[in-house]
Amino acid sequence: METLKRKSVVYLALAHATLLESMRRKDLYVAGILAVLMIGTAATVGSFGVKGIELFLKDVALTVINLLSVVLAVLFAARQIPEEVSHRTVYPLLARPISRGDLLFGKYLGALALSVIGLLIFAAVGAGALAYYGLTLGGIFWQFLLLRVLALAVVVAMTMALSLVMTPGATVTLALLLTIGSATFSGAVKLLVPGSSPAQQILLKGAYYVLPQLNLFDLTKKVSYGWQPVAGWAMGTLTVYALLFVALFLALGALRFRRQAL
Amino acid sequence: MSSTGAKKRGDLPQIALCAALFVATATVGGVLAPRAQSEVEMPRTGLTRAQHTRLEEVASASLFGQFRSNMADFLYLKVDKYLHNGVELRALTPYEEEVEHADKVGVAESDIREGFKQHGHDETTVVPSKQSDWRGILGDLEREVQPYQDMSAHTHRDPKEALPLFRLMTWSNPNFIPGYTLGAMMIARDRSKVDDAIAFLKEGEANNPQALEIKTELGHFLTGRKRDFEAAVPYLREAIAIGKQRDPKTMTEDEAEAFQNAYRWLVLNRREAGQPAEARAAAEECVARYPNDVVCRHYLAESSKP
Repeated sequence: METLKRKSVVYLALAHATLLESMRRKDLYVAGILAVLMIGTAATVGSFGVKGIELFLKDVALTVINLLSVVLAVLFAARQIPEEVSHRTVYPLLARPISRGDLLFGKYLGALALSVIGLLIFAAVGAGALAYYGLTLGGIFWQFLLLRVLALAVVVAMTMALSLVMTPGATVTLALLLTIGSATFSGAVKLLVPGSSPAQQILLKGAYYVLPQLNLFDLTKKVSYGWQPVAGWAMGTLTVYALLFVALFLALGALRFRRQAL
Repeated sequence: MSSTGAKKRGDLPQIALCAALFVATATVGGVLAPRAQSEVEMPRTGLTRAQHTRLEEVASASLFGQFRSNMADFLYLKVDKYLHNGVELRALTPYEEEVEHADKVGVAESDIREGFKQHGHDETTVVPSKQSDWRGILGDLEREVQPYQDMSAHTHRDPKEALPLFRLMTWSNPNFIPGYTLGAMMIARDRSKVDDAIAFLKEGEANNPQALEIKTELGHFLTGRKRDFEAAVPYLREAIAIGKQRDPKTMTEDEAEAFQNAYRWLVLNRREAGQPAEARAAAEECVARYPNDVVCRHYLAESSKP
């Protein structure tokens, strides 16, 4: 119990330091500038008149929220550990009584907090702009936000794990491909499996189950088209699914980080 | 104290950039807004043949042409998704066609009576049904989080809300023929808006003088909806003339269907207008080209009776 308490203090301190560092570097200014652009775009579209294209606007607004929050999350997560190493600030950190796994998890929490703040900024701007034009998103919007937070949890963990085996550029590219291309990959596998040979089917199905299916965390279409909220069992299962992938990626990252020469 | 001041001064460029971006985007909106109107009642954007030729020679038209086409295609797909309440459809793969493996897509009888076309047998849903899905719980999750329903006898959303998208897509790409023909059909579902539908088609015809689909639709609307038989004839004859000039092998499915329909509407038009000789001539030409055409054969058989 005492160990858990001590670990929690360590994780929170590291996450807090990550947040402060990001504030100092004015990372969230990027979110601010993108939010201002969103408002400007909404003002431009609104001046043309939104009557009749409500559904289209909702779809576009939610897609923009998804896209921007994911790009920010990948950019935040990709540089956490590599920068600590390249700036040599990792040494004083590891000189304290914390393990490399603790450092990774603390940094993960900080990067996730930053990503969620970015998501909430975009969501507030998007929902606010839609509300200004009298468009409501319904109760399912809260489920949309919760699933986006879970998706960001997976994306940040995956990106941090990748950043420990790749260069920052490659990490960002691969993480964005896996994240934004998730729906395309899922669709392609669904199409290819039925007509494939048994060996090919094993490969395709294996890839489908091993990679996180992030498109399952996207309620954009249901929110846009005014569907009813998603069933509780689905939200629960997706939470477990996300946590499993977070644990897997962080465990793989910690294993790699432990063996990495600094 | 001085460091705080320096920090604040350091923030100034970012704040200025934010403000400048906001002012710029709002200004663009403000300048453009008076030049456009929302919804279907936008001014005609019809181009003459000479304007078309001039437009094709403008470099910026070529540069932005692809974007405009993509935008129109994107909006057309949005309309399809909208009508199906967000449920996405796709074409069958060769394997699915061969083994008849995919979930069936069909329109409910009630919607067919209201003018919706029946789907072909070459479509299925992007998200498969539980019976044809190998993914277990991940498939169940996808059916829960994505818009999904059994589409074997589906109904559609009220297309009224999709009308502005047709306006946007034909505004984005005035050469997007399906935008005009399907858009007119959707507009005309409200019987009081048939004139608007015809005006929309006429705009399309002005922008695409060689599009036989639009001319056929104009003939169809003027004959079937307005019963203005004489006004419809020139459009139908022009559609047939364009069709004759074309190589059937290079026609799209829509063009081929419109070509055949032009004959059918001309036969019906002339029959209703009390011009049996012209109707018979059109029907004979139609049967010569399409020996199995039911409408034309039926007319010939009927008119041959004493």
